[in-house]
Amino acid sequence: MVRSASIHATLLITPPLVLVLMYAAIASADGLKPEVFEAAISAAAPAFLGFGLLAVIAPLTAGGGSEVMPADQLVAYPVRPSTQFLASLTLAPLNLVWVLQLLVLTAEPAYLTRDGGSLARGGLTTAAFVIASTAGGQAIAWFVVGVRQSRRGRLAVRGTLAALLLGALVLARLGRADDLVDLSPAPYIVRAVGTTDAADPLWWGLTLGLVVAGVVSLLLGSRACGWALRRPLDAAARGDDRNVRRRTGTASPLRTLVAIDRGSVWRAVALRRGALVLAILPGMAAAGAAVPWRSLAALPGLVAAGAGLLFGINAFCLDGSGALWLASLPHNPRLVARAKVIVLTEIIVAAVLLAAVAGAVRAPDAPTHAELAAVVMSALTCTVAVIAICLRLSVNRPHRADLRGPRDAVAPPGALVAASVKLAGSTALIGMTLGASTGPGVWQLPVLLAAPVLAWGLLSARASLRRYDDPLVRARVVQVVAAG
Amino acid sequence: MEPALLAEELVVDFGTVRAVAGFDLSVGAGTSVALVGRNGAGKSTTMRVLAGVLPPTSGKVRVAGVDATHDPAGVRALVGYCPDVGGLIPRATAWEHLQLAARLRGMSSDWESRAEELLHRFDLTAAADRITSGFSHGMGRRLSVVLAVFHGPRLLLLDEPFDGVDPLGVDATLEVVREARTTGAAVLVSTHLLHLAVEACEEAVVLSSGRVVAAAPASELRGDGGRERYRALIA
Repeated sequence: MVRSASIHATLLITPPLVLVLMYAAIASADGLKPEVFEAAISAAAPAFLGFGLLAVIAPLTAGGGSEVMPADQLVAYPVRPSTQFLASLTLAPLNLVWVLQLLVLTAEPAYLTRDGGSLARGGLTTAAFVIASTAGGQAIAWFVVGVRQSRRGRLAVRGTLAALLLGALVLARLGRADDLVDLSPAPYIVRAVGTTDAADPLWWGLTLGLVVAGVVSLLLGSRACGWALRRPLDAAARGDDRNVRRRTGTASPLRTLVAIDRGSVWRAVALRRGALVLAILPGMAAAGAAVPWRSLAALPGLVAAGAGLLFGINAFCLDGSGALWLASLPHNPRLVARAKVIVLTEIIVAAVLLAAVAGAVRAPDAPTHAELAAVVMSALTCTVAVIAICLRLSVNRPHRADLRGPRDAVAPPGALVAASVKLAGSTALIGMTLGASTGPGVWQLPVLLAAPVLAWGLLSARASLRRYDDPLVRARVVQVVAAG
Repeated sequence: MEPALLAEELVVDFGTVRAVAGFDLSVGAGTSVALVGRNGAGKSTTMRVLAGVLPPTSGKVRVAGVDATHDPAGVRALVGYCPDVGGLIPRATAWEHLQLAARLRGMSSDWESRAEELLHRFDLTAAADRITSGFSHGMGRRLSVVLAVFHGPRLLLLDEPFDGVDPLGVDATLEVVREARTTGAAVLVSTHLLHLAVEACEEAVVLSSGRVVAAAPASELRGDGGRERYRALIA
């Protein structure tokens, strides 16, 4: 996990960096303009609700949660379900969106208590909420994993998810998305965090309730994890023994490679779920939050970084042990790399477009030319930057990844964190810079600012492809993804 | 006449570890050679070098007169390789593997009939459109052999082709090895199953610490006496 010096360094730097950002989030309360302050206060309840939803959705997507080690490496050892549950809970914060939402929640107590109330009290309630939501989300996810082990269970889960999605869409269509927030516990949490009364029964009751919920979630989650892992998986759930429709026709070698890589993504349950969540969630969040145009420039970066983390940071792992056989075929090795870049680009562009369009449609204001240019350039630049970073990581730091099960990840946890920091840091910087460039109202400014980043991204991608041309580098990639 | 495979002074270093230390071998057309030796003797690494997957640190490989350093793609076109570990793209079907091989090798349009015939011989017809991550170990080995012989290679490299394979699969593999030899291909088989190595090959070379330490007719390694001799060679 931390054998690489750069990953080791990133892991050492990340926690203090997050702490600094949390401090900055708290300190930002004092210098806010009144209109921004008002917006932050009104966004408090949706932020708490959003965190709670993410705490459930993220482990659900990951089939219960992340694993410290792949299941096939642990199968011979007596690992208790409670250990497995605690491991997945410990790894839950190693998620880009979780950290970003944590930063938002860190700022909220400072905003809510700026004009009265206690930051310590508000912070305590928020911390209890974060812990209870994360543990509760993991517990629910493990329960759903267990339910999904049978055909009936899978139908029930799919039906429930479809109903929830449909309900959310209907509410959004009717313009009553706010009702969802009002019906949730989020407004009560906001009131408790911002309370000015030290003896407020709401604060005491809610904070204690959250602590109890956290403890109960820990206990129930451990049991749910054990139950889910003990239940036999029926044959249909594996999906490996189904026949796949045969493609006919005479495609070029590149198109054939692209088709196989596309299949490798969509036939891996972890990647398929991740891609679907990426396609739906950011768009829904952007639409639900009705983000103004001036802030939309930050959205493509977040989505592109998520798409890159799906498999792009270790793109050659799609070939698995077949990489050895593939390397023995007579072809230009650049084709293999190009096929992976094409599939990665498809996923990033689709996710970014969906999120940007959903955000643009629901934006409360009409865009200026500069804002439109910033969003378009942000989408383009972040896509190119993510592809460049992913290609560099794939060539320089390959990992073996089977991606057979829903909990399998494309890289070990440490490498994932390091890649998240790189991708999120770069794209956040691009998004913020382009967002800020709309200030003067000149549409050429975002274009001019994006141009050098675009050039860097293209040059970096070309350099990585050239590095992959080196037989020694390629052989290392092939040997690592094939066997570890 | 140029041998089908000529390897001279092959050296492969992984950092400070020398995996192959001056490997020399010449295999004539229509000849099959068993590559045997202990774990870590350098068999699979040597196979990877001969397949063009891994560039050697130094040394020379020529396949049917084509130099691997100057024309690696040309060598790959002549070689059929069954790797030791899996060797299959996990979420591609058996048919998609054959389709990809046909496209990258530029095979003529009748590749489908050849593919179907091989799948039938290796009892994989029913599994042709299943993704290979659902295959048993033996099925995977059988498909790897199919992929290696698919295009009628001039040099057939089979690394542990019998590992976990049922008797019918073993028979099918032995049959394609015989056919390859008949058509003038050189065959190199790496395996720990000495009796199958003896059955598949005419000659045997013993590897130890990355170099050939003995070579003999495979028949000399047959039976109890052959096993004792082999043990003495690798000890």
